[in-house]
Amino acid sequence: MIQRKLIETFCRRAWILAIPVILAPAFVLVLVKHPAVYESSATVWVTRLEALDTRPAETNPASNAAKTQVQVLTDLLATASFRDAVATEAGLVPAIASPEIVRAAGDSAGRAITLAAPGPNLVSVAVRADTAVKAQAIAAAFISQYQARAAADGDRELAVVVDYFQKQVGLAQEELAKNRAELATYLKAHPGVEKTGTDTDYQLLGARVDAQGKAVDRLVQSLQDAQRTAAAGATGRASVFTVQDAPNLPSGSLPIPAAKTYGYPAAAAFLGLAIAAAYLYLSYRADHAIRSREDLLALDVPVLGYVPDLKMPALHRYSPLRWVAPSRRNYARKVAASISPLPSDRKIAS
Amino acid sequence: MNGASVTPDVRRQLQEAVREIQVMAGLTDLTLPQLRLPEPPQNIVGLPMNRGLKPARGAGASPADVAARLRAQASVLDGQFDAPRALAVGITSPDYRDGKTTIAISLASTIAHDFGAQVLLVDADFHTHSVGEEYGLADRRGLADVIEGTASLQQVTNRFRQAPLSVITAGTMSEDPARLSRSEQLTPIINQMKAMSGFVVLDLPATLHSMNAPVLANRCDAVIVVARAGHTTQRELERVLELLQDAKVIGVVLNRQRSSVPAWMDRLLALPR
Repeated sequence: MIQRKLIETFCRRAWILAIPVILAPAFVLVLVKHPAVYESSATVWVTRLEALDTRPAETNPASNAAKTQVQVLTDLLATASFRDAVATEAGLVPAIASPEIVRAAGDSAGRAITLAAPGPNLVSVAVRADTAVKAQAIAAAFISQYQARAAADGDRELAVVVDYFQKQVGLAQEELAKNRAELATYLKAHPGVEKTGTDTDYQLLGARVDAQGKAVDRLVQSLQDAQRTAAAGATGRASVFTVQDAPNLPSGSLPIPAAKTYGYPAAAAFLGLAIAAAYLYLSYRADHAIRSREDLLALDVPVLGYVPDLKMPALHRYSPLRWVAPSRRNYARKVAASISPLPSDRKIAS
Repeated sequence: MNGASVTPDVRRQLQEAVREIQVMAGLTDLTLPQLRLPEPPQNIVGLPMNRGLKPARGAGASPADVAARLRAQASVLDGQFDAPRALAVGITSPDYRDGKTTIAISLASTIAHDFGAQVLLVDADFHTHSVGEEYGLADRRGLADVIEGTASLQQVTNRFRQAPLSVITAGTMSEDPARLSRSEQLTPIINQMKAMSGFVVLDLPATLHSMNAPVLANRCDAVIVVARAGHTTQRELERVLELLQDAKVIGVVLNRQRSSVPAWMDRLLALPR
């Protein structure tokens, strides 16, 4: 059987239920704000630069150009200088800013960028910010900074390659000239050997010249290729990293997930309910006052009866002076005395 | 009575509650509203049902006639009493403002009203003098003066024509109420009161605040303890019953009871009262 005292405690403090039902969700709705978030995205087409690709050959069959590019971009984002450069170009940093401010802005920009490889040659760049303009600016700055660095790196690499081949061509041509000089010297010393074709030394020297000539030709070809690629410049690099969809200006903020909209207030309501239940239970356990027959029977005391809480007339009950007016006090006594009132003339019986 | 007016509904509410208390205490009967006189008081639960007496209502029954008839009928109970045949009921409570004075006044008033019996309401609380104040008799001499010997019982008894209820106030404020309570004169005074009226209702002090209460309670034929709902704790009541272990406590009245449970919920859950 349910104890009356438990139900009494619940009903007496039913107002506590306002906490989970009204106050907790209202508190959450007021304090937990969901700021607007804007997302700008861009799509980039990437290809492997076969001829001058100096990256080590991929041994992982699951890897592709897009994933490799994402890894490169991720590694780049891990560097503070790159993030700072993105933040500066995006306009997140005031004209005169301390290094700490720049660094903070760079970190913020870095956290806002998300990279993905939806296809073998497709890289998507998504940036979330509190304003649409900011999101677009960061995305554009990110792509722009990468392209600038890639271009600088590419130029450096090509310059090294061209320089290398130029030196190799020079050395090869020197060797060729030397071999030709040796052959000419031998022919001068042995006139007519080129007609016989049986002189082994002559054949050896001739073979050396031929081989060296071919080596020079190959090196010249490589040099020309490198020079051609260097001459291609931005156009060439664009074919490696091509922006298909430029960063867009978001027209609206991202929708707030239903879990946040309804889940937080529901969680607050549940938590409030738990608090209210705990309070009610503690009140019940801490209440040792006698409130009903149950409590008296626990003491093994005969109960003769109950006198209800007598209510004053409503008008008097809510009078402003009710707390000080003597009429409110001892109201029950007045009621008791009125059962058998004394006559007004108060004539004492002899 | 000044201040807020007493509505008939509220008065009826109190009267019905007090009538139930009378029945449970064995003072009256459910089926036959008769005023009963008890057998020798017992130490505990309820007073046993006794042969009833005719109701005092009816044309021409004056309070004096009724009182005389009560005493005459009481004499039928020969040999069953060593003590006087009237009844002295003491009302006490653990704490101040628990409602003992209210219960005392309402019990005395209800018996006087329903049966027209002579009822004597005595303020034995020498600290607060509540009963006298309620009836506008605060400055009158009372029980304390009788105990001191400066007045007789007849002099301090405030009886009124055409009113069966008489009132004795606490009397002149004493510096030593404990001495008054322990006075040897108190027992014969109470016997005199019982000789004057069929019922004597004594408003005793709060038990936990006055050591006079157990002393006075021991001189009563029956004691009713008033507990205030929502205020008196079980421990306090246990302590009171412990202090009154030598008195004839017949039961407890729960005063100012109110329920926060709506009636529909009460019915739905079939909660015990």
